Amino acid sequence: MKHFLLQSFASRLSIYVLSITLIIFATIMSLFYSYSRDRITSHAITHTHDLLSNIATKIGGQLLTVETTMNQSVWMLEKNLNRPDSLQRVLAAVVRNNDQVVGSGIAFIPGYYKEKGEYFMPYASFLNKKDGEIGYQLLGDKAYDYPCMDWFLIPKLLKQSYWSEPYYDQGGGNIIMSTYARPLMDKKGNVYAIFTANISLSQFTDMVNNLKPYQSSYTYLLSRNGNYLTHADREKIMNETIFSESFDTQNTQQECIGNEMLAGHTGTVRFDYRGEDSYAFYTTIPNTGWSICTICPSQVILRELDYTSRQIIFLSLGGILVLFLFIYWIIRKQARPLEKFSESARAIATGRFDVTLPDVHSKDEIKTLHDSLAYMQQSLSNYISELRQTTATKERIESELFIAREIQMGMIPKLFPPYPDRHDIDLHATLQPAKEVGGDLYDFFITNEQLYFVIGDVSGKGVPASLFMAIARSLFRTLSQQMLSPGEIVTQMNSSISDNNESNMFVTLIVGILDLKTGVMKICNAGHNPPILLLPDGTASFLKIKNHLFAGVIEDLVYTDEEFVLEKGSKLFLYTDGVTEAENSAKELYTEEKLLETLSNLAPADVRTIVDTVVHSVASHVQEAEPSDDLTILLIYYTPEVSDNKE
Amino acid sequence: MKRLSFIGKLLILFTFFPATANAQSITITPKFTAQAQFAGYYVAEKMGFYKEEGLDVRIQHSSISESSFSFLQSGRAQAVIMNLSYALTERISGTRVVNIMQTSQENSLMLISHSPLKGLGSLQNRKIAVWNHLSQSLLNQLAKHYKLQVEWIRFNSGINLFLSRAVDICLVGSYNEFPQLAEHGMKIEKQNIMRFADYGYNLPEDGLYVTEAFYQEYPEAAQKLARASIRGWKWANEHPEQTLDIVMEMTRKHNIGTNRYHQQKMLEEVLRLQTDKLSGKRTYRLSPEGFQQAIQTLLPEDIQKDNSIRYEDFVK
Repeated sequence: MKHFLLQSFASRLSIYVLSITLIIFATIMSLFYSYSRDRITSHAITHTHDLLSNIATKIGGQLLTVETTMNQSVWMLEKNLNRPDSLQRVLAAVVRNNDQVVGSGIAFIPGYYKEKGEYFMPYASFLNKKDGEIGYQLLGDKAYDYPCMDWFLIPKLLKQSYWSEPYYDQGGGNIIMSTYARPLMDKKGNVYAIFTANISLSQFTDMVNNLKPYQSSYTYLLSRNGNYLTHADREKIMNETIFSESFDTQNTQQECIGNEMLAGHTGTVRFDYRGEDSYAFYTTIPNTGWSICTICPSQVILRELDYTSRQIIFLSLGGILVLFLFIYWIIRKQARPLEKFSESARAIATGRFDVTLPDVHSKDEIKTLHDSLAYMQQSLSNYISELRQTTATKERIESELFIAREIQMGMIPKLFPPYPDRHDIDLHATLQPAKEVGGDLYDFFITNEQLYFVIGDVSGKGVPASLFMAIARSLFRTLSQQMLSPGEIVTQMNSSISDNNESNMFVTLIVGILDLKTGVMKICNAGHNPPILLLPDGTASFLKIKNHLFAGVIEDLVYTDEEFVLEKGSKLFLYTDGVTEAENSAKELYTEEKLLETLSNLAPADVRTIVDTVVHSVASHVQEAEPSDDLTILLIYYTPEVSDNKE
Repeated sequence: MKRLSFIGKLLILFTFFPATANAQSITITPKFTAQAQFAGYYVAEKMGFYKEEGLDVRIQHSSISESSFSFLQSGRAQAVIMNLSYALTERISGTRVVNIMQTSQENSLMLISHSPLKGLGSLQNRKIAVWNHLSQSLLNQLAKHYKLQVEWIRFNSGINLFLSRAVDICLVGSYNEFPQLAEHGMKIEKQNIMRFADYGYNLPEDGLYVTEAFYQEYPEAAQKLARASIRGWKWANEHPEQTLDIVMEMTRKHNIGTNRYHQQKMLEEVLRLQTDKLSGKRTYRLSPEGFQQAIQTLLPEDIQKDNSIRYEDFVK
């Protein structure tokens, strides 16, 4: 199935389109998501900081009213200093005049009023907030040793107002309180009392707790010493600090946030909070050193975007699937004629040129393909018909050539050894035409103890040369019956061939007559390669005879022969230029030198071996190259039995 | 294994049942509110080590404003955890208390400052914030011992005074306030710290005390109490996480505002202070040298000469 799907043009094209569409979609989606994420995150930061800033300003403002109330009451306290018992009324006014204040006191340094003892701290607070009833107390004893308390000591030593570190109220409830403590100084600048107002932070903690810009986000209030004053995890309130939590969880990023908050900075940090990628948005509350911080998992901020993105992805994937199916269908529909054409082409390939092509009514590429196929069908039909004729003709010619070859080969002696009964003479010859028929020839026969032999090479190759060769051979046979010398035979052959030689073909020849009794050899060379004489001692040399002009061109030319005595055991090696001019693929010739070298090593061998060895040597030189010329060798071995002759 | 352990517990229960039925009731009062400083006692009580000794021990904490000694004095507690200096001072004043076990072997007090402290000289003529509960005579003795002219600023507790920079030098304990500084975002450099132990004031601190009268009447019970408490501390040292669970349970029970990280740091430091510097071991016993040093540092010369407090009488 998979294989089929991949093979199908429609599915492959559809998959390509689908892939490209998916890539484009993924790119667009990534860009969209990245851009939207940045925008949404940026908006979230601005939005959350607006909320935080708003709440910080609100808390800071309300705390400022306490400070203002206190500051405005100082002159009344100073005015009543000489009447310590009347200070309570001033304190009551402070409690009444500011909704934030739940109690106010003035703690004098030990022994300020001698008559009042060591401790003196009038304190006014609501007995019942609803009724507005205010109670008065005098605080300070061994158990409530206020001069050692932070809210007293710190403003006294620093000589400046101080919002105390928040604490749980003495009533034991879970209400977090803070004390605003303002030092009162005499004209010399010595602190003589600390004026305090206690406020409940519950409304602020409620305000902070309710600030949830996002689902799963929460906001906490941090004191200037890093204590959690509010937290989503109630266990942490007034128990943990941001640092103890960060040390416990080894969260250095959270520690950095803590340092930033304690330094009164405003900022946004993305960090890992308890294994969740989160944002911390923090800002400071003016004048107190307290900070508020909203923690929000980053995923929550991007939840809407993620949801929308998922919807888009699912819808788009659905759309792409529909697109895929549609493309597949449309391509299948468009490509259907192709299948029919494919069937037609296959039918044509089997030789059914008359097969009907599918009808095409459109004018598109399919129509072009139809016309091309129709043209091809016609052309193929014609071509095959011509090919048939040509093949028949060729076959006929080949057949005729084969017969011609048989006839040509039949003209020359092929049975070796030709004279098995004779011990004074041995011959071996070979003729290898470069084409079906060749222009080389050799022949020999014995009559009256005279060995007549000829070797020749007709100019050109193929059928004309073979015909010319046949003429030359017939002339040799005919003339050698009448003539006694090779010179005469060649002269007559030249004369006969030259007459009416309109094709201007010629032949190189060596004609010889060896007297088998005496070893006297008459030989005539008409433009042929010089024969090689192989002596019994192994020396090989060219036979030095006069080289006449080749036969067949000048009619009246007279050829002469020369006479030699062939030593016993000598071999006469006759050959055509197919041997010495055999070319290899690098166009290097075999050369006469190489032939001499080859032969000089072969002196003791018999005629067949010598001829075969030379043929092999030439073949190994030529190797894969096409034979350039006919190759013919005739080797005569003369071994007269001298003792017999004497007898 | 579980089964064996269960059978073991049953055996123990049967063996000690008659003893627990008539177990001697003892109340121990630590010198402060619930925290890891007293972890060994919580462990001994929670793990039943006291019960195994045939004691019915109840741990009742003192409040910030009331000393554990006052519990002993009033008879509300039979055994209290006190500082050696406190106990010696009270003994001089005539209350006959005896030390039956000593956990602390090294002094935890240290001075921290916002500026570098280079030896005792840098304390001269400075304001030093100290805890209100320290007796004036002890401070005078310290000043005299080190020939210091300083102004003591007394404060109740905590580190807000130091964090607000109202004072430059402040006395803190190495197991409580000192780790708190880091937990409140303040990093103190090493050169801004002076450990008392490094300046010859290496007085051992926490020990378990009973009245001499109690000891004479119930010497065995006192020894059992010490033995089970030591076992509790040893267990705490070997099982810090489980010990912290027990400590946190106690702090929640007593509504103490703290956190596990702080208690962990405290437990580590308290256990460190229990190791004798010279031997590297936990002896749970006040050494004669420690006793002698306390006498020399804390007591006026005439009383020292008087030789009215003998080691053998004080340490049991």
